[in-house]
Amino acid sequence: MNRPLLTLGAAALTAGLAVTGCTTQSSDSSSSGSGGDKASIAMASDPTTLDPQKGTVAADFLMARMLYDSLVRRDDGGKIIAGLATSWKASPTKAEFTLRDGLTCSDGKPLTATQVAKSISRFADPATGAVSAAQVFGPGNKVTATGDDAGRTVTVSLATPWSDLLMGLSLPQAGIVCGAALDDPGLIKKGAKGAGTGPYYVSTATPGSNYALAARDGYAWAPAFAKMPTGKVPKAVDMRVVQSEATQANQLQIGDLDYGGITGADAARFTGKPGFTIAANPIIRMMVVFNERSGHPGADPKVREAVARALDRQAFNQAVTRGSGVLLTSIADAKVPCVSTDESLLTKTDPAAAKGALKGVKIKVVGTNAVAGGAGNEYVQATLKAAGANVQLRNIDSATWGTDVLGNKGDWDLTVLPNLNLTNLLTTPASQLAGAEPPKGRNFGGVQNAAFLKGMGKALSTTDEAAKCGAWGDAQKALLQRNDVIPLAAANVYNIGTKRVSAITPDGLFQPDTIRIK
Amino acid sequence: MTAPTAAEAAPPPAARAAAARSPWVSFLLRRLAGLVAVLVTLVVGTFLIVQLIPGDPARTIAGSNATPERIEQLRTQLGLDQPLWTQFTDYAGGVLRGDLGTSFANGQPVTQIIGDRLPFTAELALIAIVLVLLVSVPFGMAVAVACRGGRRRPLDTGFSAVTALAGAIPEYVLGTVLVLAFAITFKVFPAAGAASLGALVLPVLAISVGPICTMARIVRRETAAVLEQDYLRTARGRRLRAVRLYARHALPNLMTSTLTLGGLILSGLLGGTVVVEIVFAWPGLGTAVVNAITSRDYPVIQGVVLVLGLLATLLNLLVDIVLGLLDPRTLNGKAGSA
Repeated sequence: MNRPLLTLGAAALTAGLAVTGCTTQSSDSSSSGSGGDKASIAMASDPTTLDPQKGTVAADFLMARMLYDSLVRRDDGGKIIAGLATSWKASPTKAEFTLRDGLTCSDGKPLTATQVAKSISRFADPATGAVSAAQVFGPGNKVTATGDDAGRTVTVSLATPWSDLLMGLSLPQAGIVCGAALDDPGLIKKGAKGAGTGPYYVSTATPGSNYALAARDGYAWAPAFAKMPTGKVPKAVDMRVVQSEATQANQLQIGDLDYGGITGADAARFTGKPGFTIAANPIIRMMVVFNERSGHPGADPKVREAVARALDRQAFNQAVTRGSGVLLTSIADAKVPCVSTDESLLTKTDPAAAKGALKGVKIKVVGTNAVAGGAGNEYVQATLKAAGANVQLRNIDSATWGTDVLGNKGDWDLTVLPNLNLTNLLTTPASQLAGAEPPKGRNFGGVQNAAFLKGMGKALSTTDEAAKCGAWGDAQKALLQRNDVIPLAAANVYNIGTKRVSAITPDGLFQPDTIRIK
Repeated sequence: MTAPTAAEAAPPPAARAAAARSPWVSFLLRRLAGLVAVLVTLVVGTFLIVQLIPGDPARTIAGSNATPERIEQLRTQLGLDQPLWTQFTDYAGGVLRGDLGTSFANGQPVTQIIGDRLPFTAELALIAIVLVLLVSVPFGMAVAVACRGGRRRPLDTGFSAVTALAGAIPEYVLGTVLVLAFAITFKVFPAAGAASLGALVLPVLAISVGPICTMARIVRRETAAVLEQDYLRTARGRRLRAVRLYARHALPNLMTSTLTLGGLILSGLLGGTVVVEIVFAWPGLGTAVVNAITSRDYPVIQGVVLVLGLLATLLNLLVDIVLGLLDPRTLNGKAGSA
């Protein structure tokens, strides 16, 4: 009777160890920690794709930056600097780029202007399914990209003006895919050698665990940001999937990880601690948006004004970020070009005045629990209740919120919009307040503000910086004065590095390809 | 009326052989039918469950910056514009062909995702269950033997208190404490990841302590009951060596409850190490299915739940077969103790 027992035990142990050997082997070669010429960077999730043009989440953009270069890059203050192109000319309908000499793909083959043009055409082609194409070229715009191999120039033409074109082409989503990969999409899928124009390629990938990147040969055109970090370029970078911020913080603390991004309370573990660098970047911009359709309280400008009077940005910031966030004065924070910082445009907080207008008003607050568990939604609920409104709160997950609110399929009156604006462009939040309503458009609140639309249209029709910012100023003023939007606060993403490495976050966005080993 | 002849009364040899095998044949037939029923239930259940989750997968996967055109394009690509019945027949047909579809989120075949992740989950679960059995069975038996007949009351009380307390600690709390102590303070083991054998230690401990306590308490109770049996008193009277006495005569009688509980624990570990996987950045199936739920990745949810359900069923079958080998009376559903 002992024999079956022993056999069972031995079988289980053998199976366990066999599997151990199997998984250890698969990950050992690729993620054996940091050290030497290797750096490690955390990602909060697996990338959904290694195709730069199809990226939708932060991990996609991090990987895109490592594997693909864009024509231009963006430095502090929205300044455009050289990428694959050394010079450029841009108007609202056209951008011309001159490529560097000696550009090659990660397999060593030359990168031609024709290939660059093809890559841009692929990005713009609706069949590709690139979500960001609308941000770069304008929604539904007709795009023509041509390359002149002899002159090493690339021209991108738009049928209708879109002044964000140059900024858009600096995004990681605009990474240039090499010719071999355009012919063989399998290369893009794997991020393999030959797919990209960036400094690294994927050597091994263990989904859920890590993506091991190897430095390619012949890469000599790293972007020259104004505050370029010093140190050696890592020969290998381990892009680690670490979902829990507490785990990221643990690994950073003991040196198992070199660089991470933390939004929550764990960032405080590194504040003022020697041996770590912290860059706070207000990326999650939160604001109240109303359902302004007929039959909803937000259709009444007096109710919107009363809600604006009831809410206090500082109290909201305290509730959501424990006071560590940045108070907003518009639909983005001050790092975004052309943002309004004029506090006089905001409706002043005055709870006493709000009470009369909100007494007995039924308001359905529907918010996502993605940021601080929905603490901001709870603050709004409590504040409006205190002002006499009859408030119902649904604090729901992002997917349901996206369908109910952004898709306008649910019953909602007011929401706290967390705008994760990784483009750092005003157009990104503004485009959710303009145009057709769902399902035909993205104007989920049904905002009808002619002055805002006029200003936005004007801003997107000029590349003259002063004129552009002037027009954006008019657009924001129109939004804020009608209380179509009530700016609240932006939660920081804290980019934290250990003393082993340095990296930069130009214009508030972490650029993983700038990581250097000190 | 004449009495039947011997030849008429006795069944033929083949029939006798069949009769001798019949407990196993009927057992396996019953379980096979059960397996088919479970598979059908899982296929229908997993399909229906994902439909009940609120939220539009196309909108979720396209992201908040997607244009309506892109969302519609994605909906068509994913087949979400098809009638529910068509979606079900596509899914069920795929399952029959061994094709669990492709992930909405990243386009990878679900079988590949499961193939990538299952070894990590299985690794944790199998090592943990071996540890649970190796620790809890001797531990529970030793306490039962030491406290036989009401002796050493403080030890018995202490055992009950410690196992109840330790068993009640949630895995994520234990995991966090282990990381704080052994990774951050003493720097003995990695805080997270799956890069080395050392990285296994803390997650295995985090998921093992609870089941060890539960199993040890069951073993202690079962052993106490076995020790009071007449045959064991007789064996003790023959002055057999302790190891032989308990290992050969007591242990086999604990197997029914131990293996049954062990099977349940292993099933739970295969599907339920989500929190520990997140705490230790372990790339297992648990985090994959949670992320799939968050992103409304229907094929991954369906595929993982289906595979985990089948694994649990097969594991229970395996346990029942082992129990049948140990005590054939269990094949007919009869109790196998003593």
